[in-house]
Amino acid sequence: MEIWEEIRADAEKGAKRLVAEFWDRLFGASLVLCKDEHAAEDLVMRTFAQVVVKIDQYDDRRPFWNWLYAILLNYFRGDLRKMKAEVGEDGDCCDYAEGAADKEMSAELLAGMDAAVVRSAVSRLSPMLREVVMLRYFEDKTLQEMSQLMKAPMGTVKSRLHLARRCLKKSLERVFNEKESES
Amino acid sequence: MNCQEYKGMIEDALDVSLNCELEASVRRHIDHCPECREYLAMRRQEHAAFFAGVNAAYSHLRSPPADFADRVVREVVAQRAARRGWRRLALPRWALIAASVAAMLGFAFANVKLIMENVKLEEGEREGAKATEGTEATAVEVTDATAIAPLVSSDHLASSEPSESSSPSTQTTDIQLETNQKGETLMSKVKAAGAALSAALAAAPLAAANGDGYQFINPDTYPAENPSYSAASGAITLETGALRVMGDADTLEARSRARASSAAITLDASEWTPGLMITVM
Repeated sequence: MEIWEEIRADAEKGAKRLVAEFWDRLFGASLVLCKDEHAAEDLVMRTFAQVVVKIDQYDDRRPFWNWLYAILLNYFRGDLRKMKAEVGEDGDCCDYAEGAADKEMSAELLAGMDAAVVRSAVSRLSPMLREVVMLRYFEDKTLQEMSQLMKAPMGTVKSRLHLARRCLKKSLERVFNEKESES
Repeated sequence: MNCQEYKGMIEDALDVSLNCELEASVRRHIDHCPECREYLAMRRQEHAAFFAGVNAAYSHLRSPPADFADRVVREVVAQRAARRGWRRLALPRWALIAASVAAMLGFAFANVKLIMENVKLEEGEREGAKATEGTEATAVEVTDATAIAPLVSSDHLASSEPSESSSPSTQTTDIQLETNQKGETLMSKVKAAGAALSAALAAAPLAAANGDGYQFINPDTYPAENPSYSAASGAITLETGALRVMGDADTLEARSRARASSAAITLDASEWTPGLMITVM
């Protein structure tokens, strides 16, 4: 039985299966977006719940996976808007990398990209760029898929992707250099 | 084209998809341009490094908390409740629209709660002498429009929870139809509701209520307003504040000859006439 059929038949069983099958992937993705584990967990929880509630709207000719991600991103953006309204700002940003050259990464950096470095570097990106990094480098989505999921035109996605790549590199370099200088 | 432009094309191609075929012109170029060949390799390596790095950093982090699935289920319940709450607020308009649709389709809807109260009905001319003591209260009130939702929107019926009585203290008849889910259940309840309505009409003479403003029914005497009678379609609409009844003139004329009985009305499914319709006001 496909998962959406199970959810339609029995919401509770379906919810359990969602957690069993999709937790790992979705929690990872949502941690790329949220930085903080509690927020990420909460985001996944609401996403799963929404999947169950809205399962009748799911069109099973389309990939279930993408639908899941669309809901996740929706909630993420909603949270951002709320946060902005409360805090009155954009959260952190990585403007410092804007306009930075898209240069080659050093061999040391490529070799030194361990989990801690990557997580720290990603967490320095702005939410919008974390979204791109998640879709591109965690989920390996193509530009077209990203455009659909982000509900943005290809050109926008492309320029964000370029910016995200530059920022990520810059951010990785910084974290890496900080770590180097510490040790 | 120079190398810079080729690099741009390479980058674009890789953005679309890493495994994307490069254009023939680009392939020809990189065959004899070591710089661009290196650039392509570097780009691929870089993507691979990001992909591997990000995935290693964010995969298999930990299992969900033990009660996670339960929390999801609780959230589902909460979200559904929130949606229902919203619907309840939006009820009157939906109900009207849905009911008009239903009327056109020729059937009534379910989840109707018939409450006998407040509407004074005259016993009718033949029982004029008894009229003062024999008046009975009749109103048909639809308390929850959830059941008509399937006629309008398929996602309305997420829950099977019974409807709540908005006024538990009122004297109700035994006709209380609970929120139903869909399809079969709905249709049977629709019929039951129709039967209930028909019976109510049969029980209450549709001729006349004085004073309290709920009146009926001779179409000739109520040409245009409430209740309204359209000579063109033969349709009659009467409003009793909580209730609007629509039916063809013949049906209602026939009902108008029926006698009022009491608050306890008895139902007879054969009384159900498809042309009859009620809506919420």
